[in-house]
Amino acid sequence: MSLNITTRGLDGVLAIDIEGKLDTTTSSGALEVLLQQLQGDPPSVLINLAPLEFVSSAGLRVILRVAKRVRAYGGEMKVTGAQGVVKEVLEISGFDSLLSLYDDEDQALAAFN
Amino acid sequence: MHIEIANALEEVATVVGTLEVFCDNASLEKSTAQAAELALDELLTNIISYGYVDDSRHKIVIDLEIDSHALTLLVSDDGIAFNPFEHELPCCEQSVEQLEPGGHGIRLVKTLMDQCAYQRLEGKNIVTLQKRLSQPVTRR
Repeated sequence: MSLNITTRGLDGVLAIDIEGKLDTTTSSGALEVLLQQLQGDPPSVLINLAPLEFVSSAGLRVILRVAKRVRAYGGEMKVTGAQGVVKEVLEISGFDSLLSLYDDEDQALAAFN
Repeated sequence: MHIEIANALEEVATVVGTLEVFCDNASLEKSTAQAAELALDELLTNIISYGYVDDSRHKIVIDLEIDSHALTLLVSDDGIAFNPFEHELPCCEQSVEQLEPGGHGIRLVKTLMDQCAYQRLEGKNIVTLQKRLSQPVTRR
């Protein structure tokens, strides 16, 4: 499987681990799964990109849609663990300054209000 | 390596997978391979999504070349004339709400690859992307 999405509950925060490749082929299915996970409107969402190997602009659109969805319902979203080419893509696209990015999960969890 | 695909989005993953194996066989650095894979994904997705005004089947040709200095990707299609590198790129959004989903693909290609060239020749768009190699190629 080129993309795997799993969730964990962390003291009121919904942590979503995205593993594999978030590209043209996997992005539409990923968006569907992620929006399903957000049903019930959790106020705090942590997107863990540490296991993500690859993200294209189609994948960025998925992350953007999720961020807008969380904000629209008054929630807070933080992104953690981006590394290598994934981090580079976030920086080139300007997402790094607009999304709340953290190097590790503990920092991100501590930053939730 | 010469590859021909139809203008269908499901072909993109196959070609990118082929490039991944090609880079792996040449023992390219992971960062070089990933940059090229991303650029090819973006370019093909753009061509297939926006390059045709009919519903006919079209052929897209991809050539992968490697020498001691660079990895080169040549992509040729018979879609509408379009130079992806001459258009202004979105930038400077101030918030997530302002951040638009489009336009980031070509910015990624231009930033991650060392050379991007376009020409229109005999009714075809021909894009050449090149990534310099930071270490010599050792073929397996």
